[in-house]
Amino acid sequence: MPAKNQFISSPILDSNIVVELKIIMENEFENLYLTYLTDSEDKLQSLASAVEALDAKTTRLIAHSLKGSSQNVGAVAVSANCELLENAAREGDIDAWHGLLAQIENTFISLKQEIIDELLS
Amino acid sequence: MSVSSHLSADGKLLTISIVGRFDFSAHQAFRDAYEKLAPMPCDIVVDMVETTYLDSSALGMLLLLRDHAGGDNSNIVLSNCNEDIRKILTISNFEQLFKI
Amino acid sequence: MKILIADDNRVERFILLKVLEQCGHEVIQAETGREAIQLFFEHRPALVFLDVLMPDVDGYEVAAAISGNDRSHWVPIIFLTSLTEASDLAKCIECGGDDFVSKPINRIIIKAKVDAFSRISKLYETIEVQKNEIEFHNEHLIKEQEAAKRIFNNIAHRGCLDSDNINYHLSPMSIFNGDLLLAAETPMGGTRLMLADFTGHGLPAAMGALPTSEIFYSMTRKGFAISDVMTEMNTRLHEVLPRGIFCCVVIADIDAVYEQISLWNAGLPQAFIINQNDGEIKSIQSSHLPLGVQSPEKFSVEPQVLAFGEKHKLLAVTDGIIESTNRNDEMFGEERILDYIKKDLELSRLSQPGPSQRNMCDGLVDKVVAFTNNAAQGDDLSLLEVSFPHHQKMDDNLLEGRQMTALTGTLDSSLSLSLRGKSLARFDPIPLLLQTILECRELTPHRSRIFTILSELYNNAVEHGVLGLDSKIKNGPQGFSNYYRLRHELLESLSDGQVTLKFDHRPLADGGEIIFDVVDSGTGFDVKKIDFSQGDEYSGRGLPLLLSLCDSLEQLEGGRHVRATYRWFARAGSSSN
Repeated sequence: MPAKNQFISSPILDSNIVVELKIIMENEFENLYLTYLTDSEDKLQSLASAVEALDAKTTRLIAHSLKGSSQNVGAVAVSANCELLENAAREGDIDAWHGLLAQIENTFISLKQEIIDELLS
Repeated sequence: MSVSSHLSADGKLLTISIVGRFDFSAHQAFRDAYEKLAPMPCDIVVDMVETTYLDSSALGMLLLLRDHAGGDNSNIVLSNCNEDIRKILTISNFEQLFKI
Repeated sequence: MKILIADDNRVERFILLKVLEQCGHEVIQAETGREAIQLFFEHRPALVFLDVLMPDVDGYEVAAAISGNDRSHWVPIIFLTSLTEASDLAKCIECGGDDFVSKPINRIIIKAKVDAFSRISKLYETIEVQKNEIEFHNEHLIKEQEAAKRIFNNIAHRGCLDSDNINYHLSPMSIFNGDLLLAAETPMGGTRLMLADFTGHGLPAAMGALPTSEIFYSMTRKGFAISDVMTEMNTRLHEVLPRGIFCCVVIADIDAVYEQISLWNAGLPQAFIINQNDGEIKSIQSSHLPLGVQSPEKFSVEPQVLAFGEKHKLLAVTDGIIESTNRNDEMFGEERILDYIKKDLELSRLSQPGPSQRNMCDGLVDKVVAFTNNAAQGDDLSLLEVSFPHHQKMDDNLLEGRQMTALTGTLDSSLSLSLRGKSLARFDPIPLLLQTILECRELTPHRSRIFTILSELYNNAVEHGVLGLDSKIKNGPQGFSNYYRLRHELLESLSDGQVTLKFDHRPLADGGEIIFDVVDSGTGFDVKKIDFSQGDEYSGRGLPLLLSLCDSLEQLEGGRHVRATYRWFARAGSSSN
């Protein structure tokens, strides 16, 4: 099952989307990413609980939601990993969940760093 | 309902054919068939072989055509009329104005 | 535009909000499906973006809730979806969405779609505005038509249509279908009726009613015959109506005294004279172009004269009945009318021995309604049924109820008029003489009697005196047609011959006396030689009538000269009330 263990690590942040968002958001650009970070951290907490409880439905929903918002801000790796977890939850592939969750958390850490760099620049 | 017309090569005979019901909806098409002709042809044939029905507004249109073609000096033939149409023309005594 | 966005994802909502605000739109945000529905009805946005997956009420349900009730205010719904399967995308549309947009948010696509829907929305708005305008104008038009209808009804007043010998059916909007029904009593105590059908619809058809009814009523009142009335009407309509519009008519004069009917049909379907005793049905075919078509020089009228008494009925229809169609596109046709008449005759013979009082008019309308299976059709028909009038209305101001001031006018006067040769065929002097005599207003109540006297004297002078016709010709089945045909032929070929009419009106203390002198160029006749005991039905009726109306009747010059004296007494009391 190579697909399930596929680890997506790049790109962390799609610079084209970042540029786009600068145009769209104007002076709310920072606000957007800050909102994303706060929102995502909440989601990750809930996601961890859901996986712990082996709750397929909730896992799926939260993974889907995080995927969506990550896509919108250009967090490619995180969103791709979320998709994997979403599919695994739908297919009932419980064994893979923990691993995928860990991947998401790891790529998120990298993402957070890149975002802060971006905001400070 | 459709109206078609044909002008002979020497411009002296105009044949107007009416297919379907000859009623108010034919008004514009019928007028277009003769209105802009100059000079007006001497002989006109209105061929009703495929005309199913004639109402009083059609009679009015025929009168307009006759007027345009010179009134009493006109020479208009209404040809191939079916029984119903003949009946209507007879009641209106239109044979006094047109050849049927 | 005011746009509602519903998405439980804060980040996504934020971005979409900015994209739309950048385009200049006002944005309302909803976090859940339930909130979306509530905010929709509160704010009435022009466009809605819906995320499909929402925790409580999902996008599809929201779409169902907000669309579907008010079709006149269309609000486009665009789904936001991360789904990519074609079937999932199609479901968006099936559930009431108008479009879908994939995530992540792409500002160019969003802007393009919003613009497109904005254009379509404007189109709907324009249609809505135009629809309202049309409705408004339509209502206005209907009100105008109602007003016009009221005016026409007053002008083309019903005359004596409410007499009990007349049954008729006329649709409420008949004026606008070009149908007209007029009835008036003639000075001689008979009834004149006219059923007319103007081509076309709406106002142009209705306008024809105005001159037509004016002519009908004024000329009939003055005593003009059918041919004169029709000639005048044709001339006026020929002048006034546009080329393609004309008037089909049936006009009939019922003479209660002579028990005959004069009929003329120009362009209407055949009218029927029905003899209820022996079941004979005569049909009166259209014999002339409709009114308004023929130029005045070419126009000529020859009414048909037939016997018409207690046992007779007249039925006249317009083509509305003939052309009523059923579901198989079959027309009611003339055959069915004939069938109906025959059946009605049968029924009346079986039920009663005497002339039927059944209402054929209503019966025929019911038959047509049954045939077409359409009650509304029955509304659109016009027909007329006339029986013999029950009483002769020989006197009184029929139409003038107003009090006349006592203008004496021609109270002390005399007038003489001679008609020679061709004028006898071309001119009817009675209306002129009557009008002149009646310039003495006090004579108004005597109008019918004076008219009758003048007509009788003149007709006798022309027919028996100058033309030498024997009224016995009228006896027998073809009698009437023969008599009047002969009269017409002899008149047309007349080159010499003369009738002189004179009246001399003198006042007396309590009224006045009119002496009528009528001299013809014929060979004369002897009143005493006429045997009234023979009981001729159709002939010789005139003289007893004259004798009953006049104070004295003298024959001079061997019968060529008749002098009638009419003594009248002024009405007691003043006219001041």
